[in-house]
Amino acid sequence: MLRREFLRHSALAAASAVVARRAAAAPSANVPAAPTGPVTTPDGVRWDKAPCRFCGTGCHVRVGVKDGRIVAIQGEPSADVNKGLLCMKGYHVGAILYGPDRLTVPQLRRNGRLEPIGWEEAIDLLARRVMANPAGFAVYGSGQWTIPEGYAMQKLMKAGLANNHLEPNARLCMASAVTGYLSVYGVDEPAGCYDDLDAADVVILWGNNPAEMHPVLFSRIIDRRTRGEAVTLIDLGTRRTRSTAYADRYLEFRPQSDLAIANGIAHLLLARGTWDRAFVDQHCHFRQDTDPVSLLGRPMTFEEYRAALAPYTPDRVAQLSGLAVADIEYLADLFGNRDLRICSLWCMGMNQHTRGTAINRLVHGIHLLSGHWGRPGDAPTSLTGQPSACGTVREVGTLCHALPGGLVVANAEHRAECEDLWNLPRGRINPTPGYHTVQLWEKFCTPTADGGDIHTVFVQVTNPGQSLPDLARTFQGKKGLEDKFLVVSDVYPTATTELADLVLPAAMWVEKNGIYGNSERRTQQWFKQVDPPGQARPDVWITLALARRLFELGHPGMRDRDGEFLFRFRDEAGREVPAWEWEHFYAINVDRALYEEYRPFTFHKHKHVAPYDELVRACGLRWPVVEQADGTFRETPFRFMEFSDPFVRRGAGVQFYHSVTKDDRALIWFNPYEPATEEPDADFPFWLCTGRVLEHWHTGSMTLRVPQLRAAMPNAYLEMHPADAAALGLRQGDVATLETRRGRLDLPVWLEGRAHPPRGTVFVPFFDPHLPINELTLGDYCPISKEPDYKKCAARVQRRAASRAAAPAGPVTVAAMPG
Amino acid sequence: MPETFRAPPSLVHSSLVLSLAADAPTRAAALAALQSRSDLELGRVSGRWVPALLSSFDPLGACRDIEAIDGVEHVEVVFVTLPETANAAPS
Repeated sequence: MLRREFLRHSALAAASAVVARRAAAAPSANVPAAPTGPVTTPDGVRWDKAPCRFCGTGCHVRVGVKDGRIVAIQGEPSADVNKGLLCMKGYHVGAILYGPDRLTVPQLRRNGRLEPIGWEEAIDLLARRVMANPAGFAVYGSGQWTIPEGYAMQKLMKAGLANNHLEPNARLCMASAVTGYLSVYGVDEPAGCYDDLDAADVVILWGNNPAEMHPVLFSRIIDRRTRGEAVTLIDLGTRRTRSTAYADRYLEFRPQSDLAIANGIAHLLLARGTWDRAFVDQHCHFRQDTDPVSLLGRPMTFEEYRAALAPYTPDRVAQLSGLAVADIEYLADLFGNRDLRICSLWCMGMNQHTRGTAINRLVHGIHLLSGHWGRPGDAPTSLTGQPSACGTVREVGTLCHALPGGLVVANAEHRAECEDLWNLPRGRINPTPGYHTVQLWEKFCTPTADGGDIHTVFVQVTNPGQSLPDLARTFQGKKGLEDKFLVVSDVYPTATTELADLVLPAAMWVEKNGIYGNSERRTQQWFKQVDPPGQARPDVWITLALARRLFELGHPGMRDRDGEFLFRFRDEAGREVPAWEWEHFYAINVDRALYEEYRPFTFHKHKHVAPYDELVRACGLRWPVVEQADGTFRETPFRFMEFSDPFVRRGAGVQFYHSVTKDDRALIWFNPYEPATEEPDADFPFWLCTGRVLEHWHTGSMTLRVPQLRAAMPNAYLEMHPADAAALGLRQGDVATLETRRGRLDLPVWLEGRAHPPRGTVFVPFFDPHLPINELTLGDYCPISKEPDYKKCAARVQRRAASRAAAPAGPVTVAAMPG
Repeated sequence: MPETFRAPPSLVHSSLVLSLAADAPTRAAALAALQSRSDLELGRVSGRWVPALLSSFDPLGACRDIEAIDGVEHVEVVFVTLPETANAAPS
């Protein structure tokens, strides 16, 4: 049988197996056993597991490799997360390795041109830049870093260079979720898990579009409905999306007024007496902000809380939000009904918000106030966009203020604990937080003479040249600053490599070993399955090589308390292995060594991640993963709940054992509605919202290389209401000029596409490097999380070019746009 | 990034799980429409679900077309083969 025929048969068999499992009387039974290792099928295809490269859902896939190349991808049937399914991006996850312009050699910019150099020269050059001014060196990493990659850089910077200028691109997507969880529960990350979606009676989408952005999770809801289960889906949003089509109710609100809506629900719960007094009395305190605002705020009495909510009557909230009074009352009715199990989901709509911490706190607060907490299906859950924003950024702590395991640089006890774990001299770790993302890039893109004290930035696995807000100010200012040095490690040329001085070719996904952590606290491991092209190498090797070169050049921080190199590796016989030398890198499993070194850091806040060897055997495990008396390891689906969490005191039921107030209680916050920092006015009458599309991952650097995805969505567009378009004399396919106070961009107009903004709102996706919408977005950020608001700023639209003769039905191409 | 990539058309085989309407007549009509597609091979129907093998040069477009069929409520992907031809060099 030809391989192609065998794969066709395998494909249909796989789908048939998924259908059979669904149709079974007990779908949770007969789950296939987890893979025990790579398997080679009769057609010579070798199959091995890996989490998907894309979003924070963390689907597990089987990767089929033959002759050194990926030939097929299958949803892993035994995986709890995706139960054998892929999504439309996962469809093409294998193809992202094979774009024709992969970066394959290190390159140095000389006389304006990138020229090939060797790895030794590249690493030496970077190391000497760092040695010349270690305090002026910064690293910008990623929620797409593997856990070992992030941990290696964390150690290099904070344990080695005593430098806290380490920031992730997840500052732009998850920071408000982090500060929300920290200020409510005293510890980060969701307490619930995806199982909540299987138990909820009501799912409320707070400004997110999971039908396109987390499709496999959304499929769980659809699948339950197909079985005949009653699941009420409420879409609370600022524009109709693909998710709206499945919703029982679509509640459209004015941007920023989610703050008022949340307060309105809490107001009614109190006014009607439908809040859960017993739960609140036992498990919660009330909290309010200080002035200026702060992460942990100050206490508030119940009467003060009630008084603060008094103005948020249904009429007032309706006036602020545009919702009908009946809709606000409907939401309060739901939360006031303890017979229902309610799951709130959110993503960028709440996190990319100038009051992102506040709205996160408020939604947690509604759940706590109403007692919709502590049972499967009752959960406030922030979904993540990147595959390891949780596992790497939030857990390893690759943030300017953080240490691994939820510890922070500003806390002397935390520093001492990390110094002991890292075998460092006392006082090595710098207690002053570094620059957060927006500050970091401002400092880099400001002349040194004007206070721009960051001289070298090393970017790994991300594309800030396209993803930073207010791009001209925060990134393109680097042009002309000859003394500044930008190093980029990536897999394809991007807007960031275009400005880079040194470009390093990186291995991606199954071209290297890796570990990710997804949205539900699930840590997932994979092995290298194919070779990277040319001289591309894993980011973790690049970091180790840099550290070693710094050691050779005499940087004192590269030595531990005993004077030994910070990064030491031994093989199974106990012999030292110089893994920073490329020829020895795969002599041992560097991932395993770094991960096992990292694991003890996770115990401090009871985030025990599983041993590496347990991850190898599983399709991920949800921490805390605790060793049992019989030597097995058990994961924790639900945190702080006695029935699931081994660290909850017996008899407690629910115990927030890392609470801010140190008394096992969570905090219900009051935060007021505040207008957006930039709202439409007479000059700029539209709201501009930006975001993603189904076909493309973030800035498109990978997915635009896949011909099918590029053909399906070739370029960005301006999505607007047909009536607004008509009023401006715009038709489908016309070119419009979109302008904000920061820039302008010509875009093709797309009317009646898959999403439908209301009048007065326009939407532009950010995946297109030729139409960089972030030149127009706002750099304002939440004062606590420092996360920018990509969802709201003021814009105006004008017609630019002549109308086209034909109006295409789908996404409009820019191929024929005039010059 | 190069302005355009012109890849030769490549046939992609993928398998899907299709969720169909609850009511029998609509479901039957949907099945008939699915069976009439030359790019689709249906497996055994179980309740409201049917597995299918899609062979298409434009799988995303095909999935959108399939989901637009009256009576098809949801399309999910299970398995995909990569095109055998490498991506073409940029023009």
